[in-house]
Amino acid sequence: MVEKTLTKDEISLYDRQIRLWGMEAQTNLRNSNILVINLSGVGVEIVKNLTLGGVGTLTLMDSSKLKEQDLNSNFFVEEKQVGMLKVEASKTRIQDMNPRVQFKIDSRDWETLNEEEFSKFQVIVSTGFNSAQISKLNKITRKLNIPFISCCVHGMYGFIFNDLIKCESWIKLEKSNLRKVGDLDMVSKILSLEDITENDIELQKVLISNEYRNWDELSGKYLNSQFPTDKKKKKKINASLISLLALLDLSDIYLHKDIEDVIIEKEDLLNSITKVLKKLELPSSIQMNDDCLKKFIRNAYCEYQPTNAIIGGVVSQDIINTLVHKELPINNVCILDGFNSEMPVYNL
Amino acid sequence: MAIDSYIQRMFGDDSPTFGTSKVLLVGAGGIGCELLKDLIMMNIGEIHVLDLDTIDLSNLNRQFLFRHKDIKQSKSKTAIKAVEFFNYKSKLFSYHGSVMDKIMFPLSFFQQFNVIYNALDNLEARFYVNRISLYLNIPLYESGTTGLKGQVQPIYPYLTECFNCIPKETPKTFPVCTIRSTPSKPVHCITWAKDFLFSQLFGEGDPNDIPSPDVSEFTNEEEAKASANEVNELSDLRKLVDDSKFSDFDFLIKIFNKIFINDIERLIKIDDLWKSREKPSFLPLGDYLNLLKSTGDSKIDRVYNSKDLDQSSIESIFKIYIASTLRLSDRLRNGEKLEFDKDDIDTLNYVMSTSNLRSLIFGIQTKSEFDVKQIAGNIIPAVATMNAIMAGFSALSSVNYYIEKDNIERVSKSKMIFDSSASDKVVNSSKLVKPNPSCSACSVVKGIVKLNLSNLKLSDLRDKLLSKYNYDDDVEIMTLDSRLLYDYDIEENLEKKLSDFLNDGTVLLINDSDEKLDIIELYVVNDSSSTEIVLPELSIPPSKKLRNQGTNDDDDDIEDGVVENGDSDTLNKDESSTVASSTIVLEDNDDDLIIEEPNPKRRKIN
Repeated sequence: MVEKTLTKDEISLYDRQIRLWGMEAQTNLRNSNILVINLSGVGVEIVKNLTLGGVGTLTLMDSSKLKEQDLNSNFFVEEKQVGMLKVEASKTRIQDMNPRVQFKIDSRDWETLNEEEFSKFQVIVSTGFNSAQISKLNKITRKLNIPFISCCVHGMYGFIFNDLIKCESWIKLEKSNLRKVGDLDMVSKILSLEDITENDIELQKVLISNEYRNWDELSGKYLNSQFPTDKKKKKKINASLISLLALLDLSDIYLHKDIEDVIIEKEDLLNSITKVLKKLELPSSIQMNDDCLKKFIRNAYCEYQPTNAIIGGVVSQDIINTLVHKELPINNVCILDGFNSEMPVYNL
Repeated sequence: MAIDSYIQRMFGDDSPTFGTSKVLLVGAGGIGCELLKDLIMMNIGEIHVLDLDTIDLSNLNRQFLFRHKDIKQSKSKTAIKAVEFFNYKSKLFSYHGSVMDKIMFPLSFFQQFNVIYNALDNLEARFYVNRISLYLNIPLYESGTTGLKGQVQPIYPYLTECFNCIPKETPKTFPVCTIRSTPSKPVHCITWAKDFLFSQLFGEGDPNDIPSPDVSEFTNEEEAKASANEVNELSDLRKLVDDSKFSDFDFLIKIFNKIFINDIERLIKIDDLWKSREKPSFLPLGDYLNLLKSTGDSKIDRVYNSKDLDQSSIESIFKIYIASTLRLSDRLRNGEKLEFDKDDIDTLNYVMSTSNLRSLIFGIQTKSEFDVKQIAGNIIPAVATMNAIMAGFSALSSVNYYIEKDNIERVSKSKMIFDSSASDKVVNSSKLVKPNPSCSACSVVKGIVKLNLSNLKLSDLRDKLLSKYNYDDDVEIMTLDSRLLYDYDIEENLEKKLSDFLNDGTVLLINDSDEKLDIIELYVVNDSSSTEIVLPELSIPPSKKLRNQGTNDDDDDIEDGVVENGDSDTLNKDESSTVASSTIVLEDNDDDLIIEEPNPKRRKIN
């Protein structure tokens, strides 16, 4: 089933992106096999982007049923499908976007699967997971040596965690004599450099290797060495990072609940925030003020389309980057603070 | 639980205006499809979608509302139909036309909107919509992407930078002599083949209309002469094509000899050109007369073999040259008007083969169909992900519009977004900056005037201007596209009707002859029912020249991240404010250094 070259029709269809990443990358993409768990709003965006981009096989796994509240964040379904399995309700319209993609649905709960069933995938993406679920699946992906991305949307806030294990990527940078083979920072290093000229501009093709940590290994050690003083930490670390990590650490499972039934007590969240700060060895000043926290709680576990689009776009591009070994995927946690239009990346 | 449960929970307490707002989305392409979907799911009250384009196969990798069966259909109409099933709260309207079409979309059309979202692919239309947003004081969300780069700019007229405040990079051009005499890169040969050879030999218009290049643009006089000769001789060749018949073949050899042999020989003789360059040579063309031979079958001569399209051998280049020249000549003889189009296989193949022939002669690398199409067709890479991200940011930043009560609040909470290739952030975001005080669009005082164009004379307008705005002496009246209608030297127009010069939508620039008052802009709305001229109430400031002679000391030196150097010289002032506007404090920069936000198209990567 693995085809070596692209057909003429494929080249015409994917013309505008082949001009960005080349034929070889497009061929890699066409031969890839990806699993997306949970068709939340951000899941919908990821599925859309990967299907349009022309991945080989895309498996969508979700055991939940479509609710009325999903209608404002799933553009593959319509009102009369409420009550159906989400994957069943969405499948025709997803496949319709690009008949070339092998599209499979699976309505089992991912937690009931045998480990081996995950082994055929090249990248596994989960959406809407809480901390315990991320940790559980991440153990499996580590064992199977499969790159893993987990992301979620909470109203105007978004969160991405990447465990790509070890990822090598080529990037083109403006030429610099200062750039040398060796460590770039604590998590990445330059493996090789090659001078090239493109449109009269001297560039360097740089091969960079990134090392990742699994979910249970996350710590504040990189942040603390990057930003040694409390003042710097306060300035550089967006308090939304702490609130989001604390929210994921809450023990209840809120996903698939009616939003009216999602009740997050401020005290619980504050306790969780304190634990996160302690775990990351960060000062307590990195915290949302009361108003902000109230707003954050209102946003928690809400789906919001513009946020879905941004997080879904970034995650999809990272999946493509991982598969074609171009550009640098996020290492390793990225948050979107929608009220301030900021999207920082942190090494945890 | 309801469809909008999430939105209720998130924003219910802020009494947002999502459902009561009317917005215009200009463009239903890469960003437009994404933005339409986002706006629908934000439950915006009314969304009007406008696009002039039709759907093409190469759109389908990112414009997710379109299918193979929709190719050649209107983008805006198809998009509106495609979203129907997941639209619950929005009223949708579509328009198939150019946003710059003043008959279809007069100023009054735009007046109904609370917000305009731009999802355009060209600068001209962007500048146009920007000006509309200024005239009507409507917030504009501007966005764009190129490959993995992109940006979003919220524009609140007169409070923040408008689209015109920062000069935009114009497309790269090459010196005439590089194109005509001394090419050194594939792009030079392709430009020559497309803009010079093709347009002269097969394109529209009389070759005599093409002005001969200015002698000063050439390094030496001989070269300029040679170049001028080429133009004259090309118009003779055009006649050869026009007079040829289907079965003729000779004209093709004559054309070849002239363009690829004689013209080059003439260039070779100009020693000055080759002092520091390699002389062109016919050697790589091999036995070109033999390669140019007809097969004797005029049908076979006109066939493109797909294996020849890779252009990897001289023979393949010649074959495509012959077939495309013959086919274009046929079409010309059939009365078709030809212009270059990257998707018109004959025009593309002609430009490809002739540019490659020229490349062979000048020792330049030849290019495949895929590459020539990109360069000649100016194709910009585009992916679904970046369009989704930037459309998402455009929609997300506009949330401020719907939940905040006034523009001051909205401005203070909005950010400008750029892609970032730094490893510590996915996007750069920066606070909105005050308008550039010398911006040619938003720094000029503006008004709208209703005129009965077929009843009024230019003198009526001039007299009214003089009395209304208290000009000391006289005014100059110009149009925005620089037609001078009146100044004290041109009196002959005064008795002519306004309809002789003006249409609905013409923008007039009114200049004080004494240069005491600043220039103003009037947007003309034709109103056949109006009986007199009612000019808008405007407070016209003193001219910039006068203002700059005063002190700048009371201006704050640093405001919202804009640095001005307070120079009083007009020229420097202009420059400094241009630089200042592109200077932004990146809030998360280590030492609060003020660094220049690089142009999104050629930004430095860490």
